[in-house]
Amino acid sequence: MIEKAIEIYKKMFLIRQFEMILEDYFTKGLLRGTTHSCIGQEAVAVSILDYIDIERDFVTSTHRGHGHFLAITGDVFALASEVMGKRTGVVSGLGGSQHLQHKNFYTNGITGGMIPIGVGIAFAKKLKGEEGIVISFLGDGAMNEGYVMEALNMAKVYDVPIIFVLENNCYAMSSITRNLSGGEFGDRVRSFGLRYVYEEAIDVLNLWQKFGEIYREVLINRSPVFIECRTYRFCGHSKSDKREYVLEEEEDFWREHDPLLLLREKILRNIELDELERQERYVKQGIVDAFKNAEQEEELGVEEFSSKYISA
Amino acid sequence: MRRIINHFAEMKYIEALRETIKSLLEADKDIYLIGEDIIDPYGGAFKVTKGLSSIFPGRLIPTPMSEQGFTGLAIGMAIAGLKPVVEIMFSDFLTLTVDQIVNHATKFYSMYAQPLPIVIRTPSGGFRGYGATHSQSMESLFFGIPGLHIIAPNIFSNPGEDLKYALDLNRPVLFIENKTDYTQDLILGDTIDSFININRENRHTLLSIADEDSNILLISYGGISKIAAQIQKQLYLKEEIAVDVVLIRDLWPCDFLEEGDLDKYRYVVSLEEGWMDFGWGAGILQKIRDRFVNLKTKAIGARNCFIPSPRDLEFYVLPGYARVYNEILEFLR
Ligand SMILES: Cc1ncc(C[n+]2csc(CCOP(=O)(O)OP(=O)(O)O)c2C)c(N)n1
Ligand SMILES: [Mg+2]
Repeated sequence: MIEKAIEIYKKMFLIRQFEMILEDYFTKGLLRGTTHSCIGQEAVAVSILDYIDIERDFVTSTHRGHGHFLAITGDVFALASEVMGKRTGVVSGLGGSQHLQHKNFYTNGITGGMIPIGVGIAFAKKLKGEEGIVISFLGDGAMNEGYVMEALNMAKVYDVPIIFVLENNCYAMSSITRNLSGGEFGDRVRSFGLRYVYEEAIDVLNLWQKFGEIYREVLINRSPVFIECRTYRFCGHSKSDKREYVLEEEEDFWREHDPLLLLREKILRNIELDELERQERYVKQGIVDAFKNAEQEEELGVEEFSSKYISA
Repeated sequence: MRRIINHFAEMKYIEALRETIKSLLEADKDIYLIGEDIIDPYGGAFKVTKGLSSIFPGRLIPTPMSEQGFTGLAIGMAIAGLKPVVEIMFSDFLTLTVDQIVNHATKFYSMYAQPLPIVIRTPSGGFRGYGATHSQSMESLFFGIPGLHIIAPNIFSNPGEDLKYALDLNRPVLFIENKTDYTQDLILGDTIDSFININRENRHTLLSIADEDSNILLISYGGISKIAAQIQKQLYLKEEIAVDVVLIRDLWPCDFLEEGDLDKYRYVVSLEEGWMDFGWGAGILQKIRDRFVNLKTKAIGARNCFIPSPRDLEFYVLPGYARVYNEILEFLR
């Protein structure tokens, strides 16, 4: 168990460090466009995605997808290249932060738009009698898009192998989502006849275990499950957000319950601080190097781009 | 994008919009603003409404992420006598509102003769590295829909005046702002650099080289008007080619032809930021050719491709200054 705990911790640490270095690049004005970091939400990504096989299962993600991507691939160089627009990026640098695709992993920039599509992929798996399931991430804000509700209904009606993972981080951009949402999400989901599970993304190992049970259940039973995960982002919505809207009590609660730090404390009961710090330095250096290396790469040239992507 | 030197800087585009919205809210208690994240402290993704919810409590309605839903909500409010102004955070998300606008609002207005004062404001356009789903000029989906009015201000007149005009139309209006314009100084004087005259007598704006009679017309709208004006200036200074620029603010319906006199032109070029195939230019140039047979025309716009986020490629797909300049020169040769 301690090995698993360290492995999970290192993945979370990698994601957080990646996002912090990325935000730093933006703050220094070194990057164009925009980005949505997941600092604070790492626990959700690493615990559910630990189980999947990205050649067999499908994952649909969101505008806040770096953590999901890194939990699956660990490929900091490809992601750093992507946000810099370099040809070595996940989609040759063409998509940027919120438009990623790698094997069976897909994100897009339209909030909630991937949810019906996730159901469709799961439906195809069912129709073709294929193995594997779909994991579809969404945010609390997305829960108020009509097509997301339509998708939940269809997931039940067609009875497809999908796990919806709602990362409820309290906010949709600057909006406090519960102030703009009627009733409880749990009631909504259950009203479609879907199985609903609620978790708090605080104790990562517990979360990892619960996700494992549900993953195996859907893999075998092939019916949809909806998991709502209470979580939090310590960063702004996007690069320029000053976070003037945050709720003090949420902020305080999560500062005291940062899942990354809690797991770190747990691990330190079993390994020496020196040793952990050595490993952290190693992970961090890897990210710094990946960013440096990505900086050296080039953008896709106009000729190559136009021959591959522009139809006459 | 290079800045145009401006001797009449009084106000920025975003300030003009905000000031107008403020005075509208003051003057007419039936006006409500509706949209995502528009209230303080955030004040909207592009900050157009910053400060207003604090001055006018209850008049800015923050919405859940339900674009189709709150567009319909606003249409209902307009039927019942209010004057909603909806903000769609990025024009890309207009896709989610199409049914409410096309199959509901425009039908009520045109089929039931229902007065329907609803304005849907949204920022279009790219050049900022936001990538494929946050950089498009989605107004192109709506050209030609009967019963809809589409307005796009530009920095060469006051966008606030256009917004007032839009509300007074009493009909569904799509109001296309541009992300790169928000921080620009408005150019409200009668000349640019003392040799380009600005005429705003009609609902469109004519920029012409002083003392030159041109037989070349460049028509454009919205954010890319900045590039049109820059090109006009450089073509004159570098190549001694005088071009008239007409910046259209009422994109649809298109009554530009009834007002304007095109007899003197031999060449007409359209410039839009959106996709040029089957785009705004294609439509307007066809109308022009139907009436003026001896004209040579050319449409310039975005290439037939998604908008990539790396800078050079984005400027390759979108009609950036250098490409447009060269394409116009080539066309005239
Ligand atoms: C259809 C659509 N509407 C609005 C936006 C702008 N936008 C991007 S993310 C976001 C908030 C999303 O909130 P939530 O679903 O809770 O995800 P979180 O950002 O908290 O991860 C908004 C309003 C968008 N990208 N797509
Ligand atoms: Mg959220």
